Amino acid sequence: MRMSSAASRSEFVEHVATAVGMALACSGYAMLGESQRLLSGGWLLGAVLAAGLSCIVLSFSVGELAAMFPSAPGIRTYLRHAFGDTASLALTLLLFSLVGLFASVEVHYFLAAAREVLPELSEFWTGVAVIVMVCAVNLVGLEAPRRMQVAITALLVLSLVGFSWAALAQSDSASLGRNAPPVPPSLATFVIVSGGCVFLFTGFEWVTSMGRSPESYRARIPVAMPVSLCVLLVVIGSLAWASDGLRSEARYALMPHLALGARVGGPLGVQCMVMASLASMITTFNAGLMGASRLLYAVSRERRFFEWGARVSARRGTPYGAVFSLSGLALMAHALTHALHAHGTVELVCAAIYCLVYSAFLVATVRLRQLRPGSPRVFRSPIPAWVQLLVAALFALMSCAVLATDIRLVSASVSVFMAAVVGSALLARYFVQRAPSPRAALRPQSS
Amino acid sequence: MAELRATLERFQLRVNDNARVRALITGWDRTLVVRGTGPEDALAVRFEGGLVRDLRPAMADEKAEVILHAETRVLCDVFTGVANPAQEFLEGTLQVFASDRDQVKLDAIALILWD
Repeated sequence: MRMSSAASRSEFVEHVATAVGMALACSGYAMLGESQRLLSGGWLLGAVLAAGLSCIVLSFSVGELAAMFPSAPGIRTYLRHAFGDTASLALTLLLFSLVGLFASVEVHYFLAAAREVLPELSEFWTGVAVIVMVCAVNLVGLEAPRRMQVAITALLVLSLVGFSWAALAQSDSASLGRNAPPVPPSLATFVIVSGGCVFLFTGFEWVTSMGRSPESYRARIPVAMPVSLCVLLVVIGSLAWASDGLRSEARYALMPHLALGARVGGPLGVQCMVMASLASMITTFNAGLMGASRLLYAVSRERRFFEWGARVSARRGTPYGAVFSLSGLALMAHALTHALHAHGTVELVCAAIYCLVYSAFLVATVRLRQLRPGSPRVFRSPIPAWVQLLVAALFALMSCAVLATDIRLVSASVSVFMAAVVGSALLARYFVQRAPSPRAALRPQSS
Repeated sequence: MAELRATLERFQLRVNDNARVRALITGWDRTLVVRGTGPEDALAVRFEGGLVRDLRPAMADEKAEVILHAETRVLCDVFTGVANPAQEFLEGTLQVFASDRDQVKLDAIALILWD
C-alpha cells in the first residue's frame, strides 16, 4: 500500500511541522533566558548544540522503536516491552504529571508575554480561562487541520529566525557574547545548561503515533524527527546567539524573543513576538493535549489508571474522563504554581522528567535489540549501541544536573521531582497489582 | 479471509442492533480498512448514517480514514469482544492508523458493545 510521492512528501512535512511545533513553546524561551544567566556566547551555543545533538541521537533510537511498534504510544509500549509493565506505567504516569505541570508553566510564560501588550490581564484567571478553553476544545472533539499546524509552525519558525537574523545584522559582531557570565563556565555549569537546553527540543517524539500507514515508519517518521531537530537547532541557535547581547534588558530576562522583538521592531516587534508566543502555545497544545488524553484513556481502558479515565461521551466519542483528568491536573498545577510563585521550579522539574524519559528510551532501544534481536525493524538506528548508552547516561546526568540550574531553587526542585517520581512509581505498583480486567482474563482461553 | 469476514459480519449485525452504538456513530461517516496477516485478510467496512453499511474486500492501495493492522487472530478477538482493543494497541499487537478522535471513537464502539 504505497502512497503517491506527493502524499508522502505532504505527510513528511506535516510530521516535521508537528515535531517542531511541539518543541517551540513559551516555556522553552524562558528556559533559554534562564540558561543565558549561566552561560553566554559560544558556550551557550555549545550547550544548545550538545542538547540538540543528544536529541538527534535519541530521535534515531525512537525511530527504531517506532518502526518496531508502528502507531503505538511510545512511552507505554516501547518501555513495557523493554522494562516490564510497572516501570513503563510509572514513567507513563510521570509523563501525565509532566503534562499538567508543563501546561501550567506554558500558560504562565505565555501570559507574561501577552501582558506586554495587554497589561491588565489577570494571570490567574486568564490562565484558568486558557486551560478551560483547551479542555472544551478537546471535549467537543475539535482537531485543528494538520495543514493549519504546518502553516502556524512555518510562520513561527520564519518570524523567530527572521527577527534573530535582523537583530544580528543590526549589531556588530563584537557585541556578541559581550556579557561576562556570572560564574566561570565550568564543566558542571555546561552540563546543567545543556540539560536545560534539552527542554528546548522536547516533544518532537510525539509524532511517532501519527503515522498514516505502516509505510510511514519505514522512513518518513524516523527521518522527520532528526530533520525537525535540525530545524530547531537553527531556530534556537539563532535565537540564543541574537538575544545573547540583550540580556541587560532585565524586563525581558525570561523572554529573549521579546527582547529581540523590541530591538528589531520596537513596540510593533514586541507585538509580533507576542503573536509568536501565542502560536507557540497553540502548536504545543494542539498536538500535545489530545494525544495525552487519548493515551490516558487507553491506559485507563487497560485498567492501569482510575476507571473515570476511561469514560467516553456516547454522543461525541470524546474521552471526557481523560480530558477532565488532565485539565484538572493542569488547573491544580496552575493554582499551586501561581500561589507559590513556583514557575521556575516547575519548569526545571519538567526538564528533568524529560531527560529521564529520554534516557529510558535510549536504554530501551539497546535492551530490545538484546531481548528481541529477530523482531522486524523497518528502520534501524545507524548510531552504535555504545553511543546510545553513552547518551542515555548523559541524559540521566542532565536530569539530575538541570535541577541545580538555580541554586535558590535546588531543594524545591529536587523535592517536587522526587515527589513526582515516587508518586508515579507507587501509583504504578498499585495499578499493576490490581486484578486484571475480566476480558483480559479471558484472553488465554481464546488463543 | 473467511474467519475475518464472518467475524466482521457478526460485528456489523451487533453494531446495527445496538441503539447506543448507532447514536455514537451517527454523523461518523468513515471507511475502516482491516488488514490481517493472511494474503486475503483485508476488508473494508463503511460506517455511514449511523450504521455499518458495507463490508467488502479492500483493495491493496485502499485509502481509508481508519486502518487497522494486526494478526488475523488478534483482529478476530478484538471484533468479537474477547480482546480489549486498547490493551492490544498499547501492547503494540494492534496497529491503528487514524486521527486521535477516530481512534477513540472506534474504541468507544467496543466499550459500549462489550464492557
